[in-house]
Amino acid sequence: MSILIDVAAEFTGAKAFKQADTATDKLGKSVKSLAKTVGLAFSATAVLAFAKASVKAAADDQKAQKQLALALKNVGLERDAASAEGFIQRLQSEFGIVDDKLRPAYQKLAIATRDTTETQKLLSLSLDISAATGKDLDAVTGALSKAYLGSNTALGKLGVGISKADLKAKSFNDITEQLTITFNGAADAAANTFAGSMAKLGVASQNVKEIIGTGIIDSLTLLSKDHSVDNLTKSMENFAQATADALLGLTAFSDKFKVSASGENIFTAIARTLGDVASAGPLGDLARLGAKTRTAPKPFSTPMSISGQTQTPGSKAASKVAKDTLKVNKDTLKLAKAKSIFDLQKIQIEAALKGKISEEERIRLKLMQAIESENIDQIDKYTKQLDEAQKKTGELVSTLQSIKPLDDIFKNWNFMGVKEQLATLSSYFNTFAGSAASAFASLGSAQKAALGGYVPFVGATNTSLGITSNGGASTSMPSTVGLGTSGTGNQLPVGVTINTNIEGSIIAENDLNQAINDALAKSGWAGSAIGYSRQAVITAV
Amino acid sequence: MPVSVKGGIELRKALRAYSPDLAKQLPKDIATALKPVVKVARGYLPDNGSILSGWRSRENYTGNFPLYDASAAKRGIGYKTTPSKVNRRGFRSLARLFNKSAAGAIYETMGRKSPSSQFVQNQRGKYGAELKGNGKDQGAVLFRAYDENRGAARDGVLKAIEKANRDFKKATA
Repeated sequence: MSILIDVAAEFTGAKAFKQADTATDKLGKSVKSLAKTVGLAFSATAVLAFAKASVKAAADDQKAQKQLALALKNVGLERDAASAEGFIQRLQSEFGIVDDKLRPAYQKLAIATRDTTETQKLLSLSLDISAATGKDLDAVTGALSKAYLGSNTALGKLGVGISKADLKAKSFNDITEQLTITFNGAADAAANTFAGSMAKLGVASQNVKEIIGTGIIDSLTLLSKDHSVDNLTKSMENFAQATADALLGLTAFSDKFKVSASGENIFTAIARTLGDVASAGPLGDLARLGAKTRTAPKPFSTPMSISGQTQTPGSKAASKVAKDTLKVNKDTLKLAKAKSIFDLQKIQIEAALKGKISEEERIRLKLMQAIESENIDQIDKYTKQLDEAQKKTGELVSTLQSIKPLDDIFKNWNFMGVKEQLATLSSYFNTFAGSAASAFASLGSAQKAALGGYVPFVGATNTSLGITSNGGASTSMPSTVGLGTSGTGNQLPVGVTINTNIEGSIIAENDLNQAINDALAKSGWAGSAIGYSRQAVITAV
Repeated sequence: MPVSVKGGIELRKALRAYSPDLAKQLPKDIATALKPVVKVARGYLPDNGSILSGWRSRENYTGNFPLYDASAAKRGIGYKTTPSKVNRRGFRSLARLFNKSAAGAIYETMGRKSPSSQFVQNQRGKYGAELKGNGKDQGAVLFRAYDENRGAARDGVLKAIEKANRDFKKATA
């Protein structure tokens, strides 16, 4: 509890007033809808519009059925599509709620729960809550589906008498049980009120529209001989005009539209009268022919069948053709697969792929393989890869071409030619030979004799060095060759003196023996191992 | 009874959409009018020493009856300038004063229904308080301060709204 003082406030309208307004609006709409359907439908000017509206209603209904079936298929409840449609039809007639509202609600719950039993249970509960609280069915199913998935916020906002603590603490099953107890029978009670009865009549009129619309579409499809939309719409307009003319005649039986003395209500009287007129009058034959022509709803033997969906003989033939085509396609595929096992071209490509190949070659082979197997995706993929590889190769080639050759790094070096090198070597050699000859020439006769009669450069000539040979045992050498700077060539350079000192003594053999003996004697006295052989040495000496 | 203002909510929406500066100024002006009441009301609350010892806040208390804590009770008194949700009678409040702590509310209204009860008598003996206001709007703290304010706060709020309206019309003219 808290104390509040409203200093300034604005009146925005009470909730109860709004609810009352909404309820009144709904009732008004139901009555208007019924009046439109029943009253305007039989006025001559509105027949064309009614026919169009009926066709539209039938088309919308079929679309909604397909949407629901698809949604159920997507959540794995395709087997229950038929039972779902049946359940919706039952709720529609029982509570007077049009299937256009029930289908989205069912779909929402089915997506959340993914369970048919739970969906149908929650939809029934939603109808009760919606009837009791005046909330929109869509809002209630939305809140319940969210609560089923763990979010209780929307359910709390519905104002269904569950505290926040309960919403937090209780499980979804506990909450739904509590709601079931709280709102039990609300939808049923609402359906049995005047407003509910009007809603039921509204639903019935809507169904009448849908049934007539379905009939018109079927009839016009047959009349147009083919399934083209242009022909169908043209035929539809013609047929609507014809129907309008026929219904104009019905007004002649206006006395039959009165309520009978037996207490029969006006709507039953209208239906019965129309039935009588239709069967007894010229339309009777048409109606009977139509009843024969009308195809029975497709049984719910297949998972995806929808209530009200029909199958014409033409479509049966078409499905047979489709089945045959499918079989042929499968056989063709099998044959192609078998062929591919022995396809030499493919084998060669496969073998080549196992070899040592470059990346570009690999792509080429893969592309060939894809072309062989006619795989468009693979062809696209490898074509792109090959283009890319070729592009890169082109770039590499252009890059290589743009590289300039390196300059000769030795071009500025001053190399001597072989001839020049040989000349230089010859010069050096001659110089050396000259020096050797000069040195030989300076030798004394005894020294020359010690060489065993060897005479260097016999027969050699080098006029540039002054070497001449007489072909005999001697060679004259130039006097300038040698270490000296002048003279005969055997002189030391000026200022250089070589002094030789010889030191040491010459010992006689006896003195040597004596020295050895002395050394051995000293060693023996010192206890050295050599002393053991002293006697032998002495003896030897 | 609150003053009924027509178009106050729409004005706030329009201010927010077309004149954000004025939209910020309006709550400030309303607050200026309401703050004195809050200040006086907080002054009417007794401190912890002037409360019956058995009602005084203490540790390890396990009972359900809310104990009095002066600081909490003072914090519980305040004002709001944002529009409230619609009440059962269809009104949305544009400016409101509140005394939201449980003990503060008890002190506010004690003695309104049974002035001769032991609890009320003993407390009044410790710290005298005077109930002011009429009927359900009678109290010893917030209602008393609002009553003594003699409509100055209410006039201030209305003036602030009217001023915002004038300024908005000028700005968008």
